[in-house]
Amino acid sequence: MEEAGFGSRYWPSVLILGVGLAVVTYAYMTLRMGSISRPGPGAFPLVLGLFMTATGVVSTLTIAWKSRAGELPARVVQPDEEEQERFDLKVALFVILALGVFALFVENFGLAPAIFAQIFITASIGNKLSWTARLLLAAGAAAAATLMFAVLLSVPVPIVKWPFGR
Amino acid sequence: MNDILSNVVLGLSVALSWQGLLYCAFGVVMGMIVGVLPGLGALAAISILFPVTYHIEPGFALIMIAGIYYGTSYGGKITAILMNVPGETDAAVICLDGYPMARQGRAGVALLLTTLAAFGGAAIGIVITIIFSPAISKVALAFGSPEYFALMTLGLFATTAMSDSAASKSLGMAAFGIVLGLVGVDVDSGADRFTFGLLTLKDGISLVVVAMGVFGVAELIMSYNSKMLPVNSVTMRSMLPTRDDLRRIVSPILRGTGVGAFFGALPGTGATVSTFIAYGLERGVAKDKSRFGKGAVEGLTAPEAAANSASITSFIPTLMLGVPGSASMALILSLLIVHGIAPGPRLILDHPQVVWGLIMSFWVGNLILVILNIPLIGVWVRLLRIPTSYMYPMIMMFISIGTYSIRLNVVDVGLVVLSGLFGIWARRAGFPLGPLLLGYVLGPLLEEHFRRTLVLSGGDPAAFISSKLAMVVYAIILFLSVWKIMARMRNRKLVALS
Repeated sequence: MEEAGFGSRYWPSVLILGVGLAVVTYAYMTLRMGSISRPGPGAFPLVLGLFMTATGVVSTLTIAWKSRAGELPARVVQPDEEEQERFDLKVALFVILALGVFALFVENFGLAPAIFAQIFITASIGNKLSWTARLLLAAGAAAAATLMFAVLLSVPVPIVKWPFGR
Repeated sequence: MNDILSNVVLGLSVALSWQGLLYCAFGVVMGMIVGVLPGLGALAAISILFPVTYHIEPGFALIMIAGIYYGTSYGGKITAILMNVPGETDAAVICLDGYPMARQGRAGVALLLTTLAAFGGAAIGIVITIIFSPAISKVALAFGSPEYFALMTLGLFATTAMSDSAASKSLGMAAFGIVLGLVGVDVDSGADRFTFGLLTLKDGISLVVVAMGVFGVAELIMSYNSKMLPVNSVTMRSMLPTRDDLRRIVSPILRGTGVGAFFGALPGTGATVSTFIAYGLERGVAKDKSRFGKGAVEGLTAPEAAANSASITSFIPTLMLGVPGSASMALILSLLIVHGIAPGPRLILDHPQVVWGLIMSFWVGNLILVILNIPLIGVWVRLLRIPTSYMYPMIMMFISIGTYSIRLNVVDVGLVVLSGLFGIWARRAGFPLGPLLLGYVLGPLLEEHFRRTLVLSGGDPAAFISSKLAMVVYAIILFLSVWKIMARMRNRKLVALS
């Protein structure tokens, strides 16, 4: 168990404060404020940014005041700690890779190859399935996706396409 | 009375058409599947299937998305009873008495009783919705911009007050959601806001992309490694309750329904909160409190009835006022906006077939859910045995095609990845994501009423509190904020002591 330093206790409030100040600055520098009876595009963002800034300031001050009074526990308890332990970097990288491959393939090779490649990658996470199962799952998904989106819902996307030398 | 009858007939003509039945059945089945899968929630399911609705008529799209929403609550209880793992947040309370019943060999009975309770709660919820919706829309027709501004602010604050996170974190997320909603061209003046000169940001950031990322992708990554426990099969014969069971559940169902119907219609509270209140109430009125937590049928049925009546009545403020009470309702509201239907009190007058068709489809959906949960229960238990390695790639497929099909733009797929990473970071840092979505949907409406209030009053800030209703609403906001701060302080002290 780590001790909570200045950072881990204050950073959420400081973050809110920072985003609030950024919104205020952006609204003030680039958008027209208008008048109070004719508010321009910048008026609402300005009010919102000020509200965020105020929230950040109040919450920072509350924490500072309470930690001086010794009312805060040594460590900030997160409500969903079990959730945190389940994060797996490998799963995340595979999922991002699969989405990236889909984005790359869908416009160059068509919907069916894009889904095939993507499902093949996703099904390979953790090496739980045999190669045959992965190929079958990917082929089945490609067929199902084509039928559902391209045929039934008629989404205008090519099913198969050859990008080189048309 | 005649009015009610003609509305019911109009609604049935939509709900019982073949498309109505088809989309309703599809929605509730999807809801059941997602409900049964732990880790994936109603919000993930609604966002993942949202793009599909772009290609459907708005009335049927609404019926389908609503089916997903209340279907998840039926599905969530199955894993709660069989494995002590709530498939859905409103099913967390069901674990308390449901799992002990399963360990006593009464899993079948628990599944049957919760299904009866769910149907009972939903049925009364539907009747309440049919009776009160027209009246509420009539009152709301008199509301002006100051009242709407107040009500929407209340919606945001109430969600904040009800979340487990620190008030500053929820408010920060709600405000950040509003900022995200501001990105793009301002309709009023034509000025670019927060686009940083990027062409793709001119149309704004799509809500579906954000929701799909922070719920769909993030939940997929987080729950991929969750272990499925082996479960025994459930037969129809094992579902037979005793006469004592049936006698005991009648009043808990009625009390639970009342609690759910009330809290469902309020902003910010919704189904999950009402299940905890219903459980507490049953414990409070019970003569023998020691039975609770050991398989008391009262503690099982009251929360289930509450969750289901709340999920029906939460449609009242969403559709009649255009003020969603929760993140799921915000998504449902945005579905109407996407289809060019303005939500608010005029909705029921301008598009009666959409509103009444939806309300009557609740009957269809809940009847299908009863069939899915009693004779077909074995199918769902078998679904629990399918490894995630087969299930999750399919969800990936819906996420990617869904995102791409919104604008046929691969940039959106990249934005989904970014929002997914943001969602994971926010979860780990304890920032709640519900307020983000609610802020996003309410932001543009909030700004419209903000400007209109100032324009119509000639720039008088006092206009915001000029009406009695607005003043009452701000008083409630103040009360909620104080209450939240006090509750947090008590919690902190408890943590410090332990």
